[in-house]
Amino acid sequence: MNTRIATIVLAIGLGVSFVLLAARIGKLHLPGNQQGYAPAQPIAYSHLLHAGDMQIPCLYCHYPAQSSRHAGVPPANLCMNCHREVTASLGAMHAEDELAAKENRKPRRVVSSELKKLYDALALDANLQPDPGKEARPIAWNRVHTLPSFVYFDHRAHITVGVACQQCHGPVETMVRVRQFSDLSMGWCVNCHRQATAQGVGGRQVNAPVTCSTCHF
Amino acid sequence: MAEKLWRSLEELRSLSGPDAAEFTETPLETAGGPDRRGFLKAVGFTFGASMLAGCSRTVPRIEPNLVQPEGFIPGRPVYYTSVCGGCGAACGTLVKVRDGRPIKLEGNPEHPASRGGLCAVGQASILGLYDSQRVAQPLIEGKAAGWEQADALIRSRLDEARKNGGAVRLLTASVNSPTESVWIRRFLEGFRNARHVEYDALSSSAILDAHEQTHGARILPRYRFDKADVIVSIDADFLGTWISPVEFARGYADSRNPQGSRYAWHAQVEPRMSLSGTKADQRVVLGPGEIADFVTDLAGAVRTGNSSRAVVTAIAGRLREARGRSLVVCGSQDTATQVLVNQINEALGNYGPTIETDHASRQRRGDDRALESLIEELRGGHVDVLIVAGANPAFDAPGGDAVAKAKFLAVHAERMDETASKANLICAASHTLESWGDAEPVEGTASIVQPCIRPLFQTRTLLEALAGWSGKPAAALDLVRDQWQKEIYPKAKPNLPFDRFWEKALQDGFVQYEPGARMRAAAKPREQKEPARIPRSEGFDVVLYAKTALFAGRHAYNPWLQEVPDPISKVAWDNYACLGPQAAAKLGVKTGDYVRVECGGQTLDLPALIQVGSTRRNCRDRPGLRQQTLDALRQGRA
Ligand code: SF4
Repeated sequence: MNTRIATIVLAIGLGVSFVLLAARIGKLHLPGNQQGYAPAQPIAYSHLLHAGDMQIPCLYCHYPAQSSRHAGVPPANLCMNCHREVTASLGAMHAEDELAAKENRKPRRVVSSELKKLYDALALDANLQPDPGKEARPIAWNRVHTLPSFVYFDHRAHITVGVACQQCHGPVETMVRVRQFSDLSMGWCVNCHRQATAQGVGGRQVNAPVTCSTCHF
Repeated sequence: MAEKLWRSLEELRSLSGPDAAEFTETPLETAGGPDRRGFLKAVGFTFGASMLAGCSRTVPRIEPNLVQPEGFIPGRPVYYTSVCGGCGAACGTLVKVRDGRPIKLEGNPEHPASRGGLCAVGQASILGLYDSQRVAQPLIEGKAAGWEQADALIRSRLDEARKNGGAVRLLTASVNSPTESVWIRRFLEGFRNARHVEYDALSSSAILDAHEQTHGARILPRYRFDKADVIVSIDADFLGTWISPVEFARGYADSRNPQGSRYAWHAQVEPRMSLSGTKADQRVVLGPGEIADFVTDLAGAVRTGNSSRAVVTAIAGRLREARGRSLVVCGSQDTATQVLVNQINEALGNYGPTIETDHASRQRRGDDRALESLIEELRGGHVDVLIVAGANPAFDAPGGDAVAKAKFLAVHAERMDETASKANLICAASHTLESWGDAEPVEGTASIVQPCIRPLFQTRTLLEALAGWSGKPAAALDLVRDQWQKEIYPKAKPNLPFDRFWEKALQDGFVQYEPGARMRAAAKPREQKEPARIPRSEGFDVVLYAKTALFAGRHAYNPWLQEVPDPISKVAWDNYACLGPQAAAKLGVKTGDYVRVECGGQTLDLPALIQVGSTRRNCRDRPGLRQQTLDALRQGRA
């Protein structure tokens, strides 16, 4: 009798845990697979705003991708090309302009809390001039796309042949916070290489190698 | 049928019959390991644990430059020329720097001495830069201190010595840097009783002493293996560890090019199998006690053409046929033997064509007698301030423990070695890749040591330290530039303004100029001594030799070098004693057995390694090391 109850309890338990697991099965990853990883960044930089709404080309900021293996995170002085003038969201700046016109004074500089972090990193004062009293400090971004160290990946070849950034990185221009879109597994790489060789990239014939030493050497 | 060649005793045995299979047939259980169930449990646990471990997410970061220098592209390497700091040979290097960090060293193909070569020690020396065990800041009596405190301490000691005429001694390895030499002189000028002593753990002192006798100048000539048609090396492993192996190997390769117009003949006389010995056309196996006799015989045979020994007559015959195109080198530590070698070379007319004295080498300048007298002084407690820089005498100089007897010991060192641990003051030294400096391996060829990264820790170069102690603190870059502008620029006579000349020297990695001819005296020694003979004994001869990847042990901290299998014995990591097969059979010793080596009142327990002396046909009748020879090796921290 007792054994029977125990068996039933066990069977139910097993069933429940299967059901629970099944609901999450899509979220289970093999170790090392970080698909969907979207860490918070030290500055809440939005790709949706910059690449989507403003339509800044990817390679404007990630220019090393054409000439180096890394696409890289742009140096802060590149941000300053625009953000020397643009110090807050358009709305906030317009509001200040209107307010200043109403109060009949010169508009003050409004600085958004996120851009303040950029200026602080560069050790700039309220007038965006170098402040010798402050210490410049690099911004430690959290790396989203990481390959194991035994894989050699080079952006150059992919950019040169015309592979769109979105092919691997997904619709970054719609992401407020960057998320790892593909699983970056070897099977995924190899499938794409095979397909590219068979179908070409952008109507061009390419030879995407699938030999081991292409990536592992 | 072609003769079967073999590379190890095991292979030789398997050639003569099926024996000693590579894989053992014994089942695992009997090997004393876990049983099947235990094994599966362990595997299950490990697998589970590794799955769990793999689930944790490390967060790598990217810290881009705030302001990117123009032309700098992350991930794209840049190459700088510099100089290898692995030993005194000062080979030219190209340093690959990526994202501001040096990541790889290669030889500089344009460098006139090393010509693109870089030995294992040079290749691995980059690891020393990132070594977590480096001394990161000055230490006073073992406690971390700042440079102000360190400077104040040593200045007060030096001032005291200056006032009271106290003895100040500077002990370094060979100084091949012109700027350093100048600053050492300037630093010591201020004292009444000061001396600079250079020594090399792998000493060539006897060669310099012999030239003082025969040529009137204590110099190390530059050997041109690239110009020799007959090479006789007597216990000098010039392809492995002797003086400037990279430069010599390059020259040797030129002389022995199967596709080239000439193919030099090479005889190696040695007590143990060396890298050079494996390449020789003729190899003569002699015990260390027989080398002096051999050189005496050879000197006679070169003069007369005859000797009582056929092998000597044959070698002398080859040499006599190649007058002015031959080269005899010798690794002996005995001055009288080296004097004989000089006379042989002089008789053959090799001085000039294959042995250059007016482009003398600065790679080894050590003076064993000066070291001995310093050790005596130290033992007597007569040294007030001893500064040791770039050397580890407590480890590699005979009697070097005496450094602790100095009243004040300051050590300029990169890591806590045997000498530094005895010091009152440790001045943290910069790695070569963090330093400005210069090097002149052979007179007339100078290179700039160019840093490729800012000092990682609070360290200084010896140049900066010396300038500071002389009361004229300056940055090493200014010191080197100044010296080059004053000394080297006028000698090089380029048609360039100095700034351009300096840039070009940095870009090329070297400059060349005429150092000015040296007076050549006749090869008449002032006093002719008999070569020292090692007394024959009943026991074994112990031959200590430097391992190809570790030299005298200065780089023993470096795991890459410890991992390099010796090219001859194929052993990595450990110390061992090589025994010839016959000697081993006589003693009943197998490879791996421990033997106790007693020599000069010291004992060392070492695993034995059976090492044949030669695999060449001309040695077939003696397929082993001499019976009475035992090679012991002191490779790392034994
Ligand atoms: S011989 Fe080797 S360690 Fe010495 S300078 Fe040349 S490369 Fe460096």
